[in-house]
Amino acid sequence: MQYVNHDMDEMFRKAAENFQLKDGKDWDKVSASLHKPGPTPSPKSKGTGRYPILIIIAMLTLTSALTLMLIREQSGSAVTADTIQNKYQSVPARNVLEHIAQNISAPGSNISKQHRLNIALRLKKSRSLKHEINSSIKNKLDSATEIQITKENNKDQVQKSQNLAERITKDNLGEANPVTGSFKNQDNKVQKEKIKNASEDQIQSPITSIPTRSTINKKGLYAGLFAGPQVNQVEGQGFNKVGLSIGLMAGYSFNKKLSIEGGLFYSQKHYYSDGKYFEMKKGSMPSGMKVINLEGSTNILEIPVKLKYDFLQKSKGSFFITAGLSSYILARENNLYFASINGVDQDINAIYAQRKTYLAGGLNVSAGYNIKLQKKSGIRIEPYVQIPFKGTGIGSMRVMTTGINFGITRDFHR
Amino acid sequence: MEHKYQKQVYEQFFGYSLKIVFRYIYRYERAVDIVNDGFVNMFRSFDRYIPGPEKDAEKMFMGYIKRIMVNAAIDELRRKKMSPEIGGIPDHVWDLSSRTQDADQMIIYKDLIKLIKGLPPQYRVVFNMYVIDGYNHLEIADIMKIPVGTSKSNLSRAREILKKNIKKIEDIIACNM
Repeated sequence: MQYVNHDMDEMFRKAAENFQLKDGKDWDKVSASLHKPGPTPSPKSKGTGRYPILIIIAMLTLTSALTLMLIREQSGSAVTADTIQNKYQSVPARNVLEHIAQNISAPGSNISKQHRLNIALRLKKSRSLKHEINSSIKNKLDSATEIQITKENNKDQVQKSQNLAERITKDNLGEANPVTGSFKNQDNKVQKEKIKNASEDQIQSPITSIPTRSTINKKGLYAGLFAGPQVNQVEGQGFNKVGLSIGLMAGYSFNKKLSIEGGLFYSQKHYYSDGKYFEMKKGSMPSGMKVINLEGSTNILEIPVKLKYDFLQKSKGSFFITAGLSSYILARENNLYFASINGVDQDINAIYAQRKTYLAGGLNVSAGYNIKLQKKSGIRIEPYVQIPFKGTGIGSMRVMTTGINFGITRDFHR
Repeated sequence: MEHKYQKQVYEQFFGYSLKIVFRYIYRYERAVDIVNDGFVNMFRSFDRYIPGPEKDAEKMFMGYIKRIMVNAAIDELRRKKMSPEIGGIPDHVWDLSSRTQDADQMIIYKDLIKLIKGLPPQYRVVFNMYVIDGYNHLEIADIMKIPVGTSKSNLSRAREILKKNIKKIEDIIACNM
């Protein structure tokens, strides 16, 4: 037998023309298929997880859109300027001064004309101040949350001022004389000044005490559940099958912009690589084996720790960016090698179940958008990239991951 | 096509079809199933076939069968996501008895076909289509839904692997002599 050094292609063409196989005819089977109605059913593949993942993404998107619509219907339309105006008007229209003035200026009281004039002036001032309050509220339609807080605070303010004014009145003016209607200490000038200043302060405070966004407390813990698809590649050789990542995340907000997060994710990474990127360590492979290429998957526990920065914050949501480090615990690796062993090329499948830890194994960066659902919950959409610092697995391959996480978050801070 | 002629066509061209599909599909049994499915599809849509002049009728019909079988094999590989298969080819699938060929030559042909079957599926398909079945890179790219560049690079890699393997076999034979 001699191998002539001639055109290789021609050699293979000749082999393809002349090689023989055993007979496998089965006309009965073909005939039976021909008599069946319709085309021959082709076997459907079980899928690699790509279509179920796409369905999960579509369901998450649909659910969040429906939830947003429902919330807007329930709460958005009710919040109007008129509604707020009416709500404030439902608070007792007569403020304390008006009440006092009416009592003081009751017929038959001994209060001096000057004193009555002073009170009337103060009353007029309080009415114009109240008008200012109402118009400022109209202009300051921000979010339902802030308005609710403002409303509650003002109620408290009114109540406090009422209590305080009553106390001052009692302390300074003394008990009212049921017969004459005059107060015990009504001639005390110092006491009158105190009342005047205290009452004006109480009237003024509702305006200044409307809490702004910056005063709302944003510190505290939050957590979330995330899932999403991801693709992986080794040294830019292209993506293989779509993998999945699912996990929990917890974080702490230092303020409304800066937070720190940590998490625990389980992910399945699929990759393909040429053999030149696969490190053949001594003892890890049979002697005389050379990897030509391989296709594989790993099950990994990922522990990211990162800083998060929120910006462009609106009532409906905010954008954010994160950056941090990820550590990995490699739980299982399954590789299919196309390899040469002692000169013979063949496919070899190998499964490695030994756990290996890679501390700070890669850089984790992402950018995304938080959608506020309610006061303390939201939906997060977060595309990310994981850039490896070192190789992982039996072949120490640097696997870069790109994916997108969808998550539901919940705030636990006050 | 009438039923009796279908059987004749099937029996006459089964071997030819199986040799085509077996170069693409790793497993013999699966290759047989795909050939049978290919014939069923061909008979069902036979009205689409336009026969050529009588002198070239058989040649054109063989070309028609080849296209159907190659497409059926590629569809099967796509269903399996072009994933490689493992395990050797059992010897009983080969027919090494031939009246026209030397036995040693038959073994060589068998080994060469095994080398083609040992290629990764993406390289195997391109090599078969370009070198043996006569498709050009544009046609391969269109059928495989890959860029023309990928088709060329897959062919180049397939040739590299086959050259290496042929060299190894030659060296082994030279050592044994």
